[in-house]
Amino acid sequence: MSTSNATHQRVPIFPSHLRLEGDGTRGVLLGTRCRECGVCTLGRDALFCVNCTSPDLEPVELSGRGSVYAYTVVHAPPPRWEGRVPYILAEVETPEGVRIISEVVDCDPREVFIGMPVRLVLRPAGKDEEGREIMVYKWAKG
Amino acid sequence: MVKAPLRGVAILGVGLHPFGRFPDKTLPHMARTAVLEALKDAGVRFRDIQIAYFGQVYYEGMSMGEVVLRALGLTTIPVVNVENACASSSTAFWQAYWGIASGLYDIALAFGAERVPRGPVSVTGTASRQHLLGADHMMAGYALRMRRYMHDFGAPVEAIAQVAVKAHRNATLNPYAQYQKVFTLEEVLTSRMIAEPLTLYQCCPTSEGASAAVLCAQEAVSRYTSNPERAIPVVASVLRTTPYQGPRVDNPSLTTVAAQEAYEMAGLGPEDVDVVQVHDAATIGEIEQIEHLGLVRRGEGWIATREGRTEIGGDIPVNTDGGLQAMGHPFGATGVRMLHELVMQLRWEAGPRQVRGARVGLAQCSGAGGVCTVHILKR
Repeated sequence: MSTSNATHQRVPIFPSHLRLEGDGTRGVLLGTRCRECGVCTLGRDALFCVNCTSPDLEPVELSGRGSVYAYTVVHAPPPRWEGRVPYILAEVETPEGVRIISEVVDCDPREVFIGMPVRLVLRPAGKDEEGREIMVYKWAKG
Repeated sequence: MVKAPLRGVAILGVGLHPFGRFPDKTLPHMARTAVLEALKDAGVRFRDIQIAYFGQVYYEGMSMGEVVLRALGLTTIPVVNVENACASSSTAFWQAYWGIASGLYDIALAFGAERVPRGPVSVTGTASRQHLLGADHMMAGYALRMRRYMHDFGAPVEAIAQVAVKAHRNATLNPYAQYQKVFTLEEVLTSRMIAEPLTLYQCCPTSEGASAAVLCAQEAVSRYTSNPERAIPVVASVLRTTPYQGPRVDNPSLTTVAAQEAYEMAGLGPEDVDVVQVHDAATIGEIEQIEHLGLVRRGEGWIATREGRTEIGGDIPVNTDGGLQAMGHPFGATGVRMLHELVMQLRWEAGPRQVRGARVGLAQCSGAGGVCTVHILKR
């Protein structure tokens, strides 16, 4: 199987939030920035600024870095969760001023703390209707 | 953005179906029980009702409000079904209030009912991929807020968990409550972990139940009831949705936005409030809400709780009927349930739960998706 074929085997969880790169195991978080008030949000869905309602928005790419603003260790998972249990869920604040909630992987639940630096990683979570792996944005220490 | 009602509105009667688990009862059965109790309490017949609003969340069939009321007679009145998450029936109540305040109707019914499935609550539809993030979990959301609150204000988990201890003690005085059982602080803290630092007994249960209220134009009260002194005036009715909250934007919280409008509409302030019902889906919810309502300073809700100020005998009695924590939380029924308790308190009919001399009551109800209602009643 060729490398370019392998790319087609993976899709981002939300194409408006995440663009896959290379073989699809790496990617870039997509955001929107308001040219009037400067507020930045995750995803490219916004039609107007959520803060000031300006239509003057520009697409941006997030750095993929951040620090833990808040965290929890989930012991009773929500319906249809197929990942490990317990798992760390964190609200991460990025340098662009966006807060993004997702799992922190490859980290002992006893080691996570508010302010911990994290970086974007992608992990597969199930398959779509066409059998492609759905890639989810998560966080890892560092 | 304060709206002025054209005329006053009062609650004529309230009713409940007990909260809990009722495997042998259908949703319409529970809802009718609450409606009939409210009609009886109001001293009116169903054919007097000019419009009805029904709050419910989980799908049980189309037009459930109509299905519920069919058994009481096909009077051809408009019936509106309202879905606004956990604030569905307080939104229904808000609509009934403004329907009367604007002069369209003289007498209206607001009611709600729910049968919540067991287990952690998801807030998105099954077609969404949100669940793959692991964040589609009501209590995990509260847990994140609790961890940050503890970090920002130095609050110990024991002080926050005290909300659950108080709620369960209050619920032992309430025959309609799902859990009429005292829990010690140790039992709350050592119960099964849901999402750290929230243990099971710091999370509201999943519940079934129903609630109803009959609202009436103040000027028409004596036309419908021979006991006008039992009608409790509604002096503020507010529904708002969330402002943007972000790291670089210092907007007031949703509850603060709604509360400011409610206080202005009522011509009252937080210092005038004698009894309070807030959305304590998790213990931290109550702490945050009493702060956002201005009842205590930001970051000091946990101190007020630890000092017993929010107990029935304290100076800011909160969730006197057990709240979502112990009364239970059938989503569609919760908003009007809070108003039921305020009416009991302001009529001085709350029995062993009575806040002595209560004259002003406030109810705050939150809904997922960024909804908040604030109602103020004054006898």
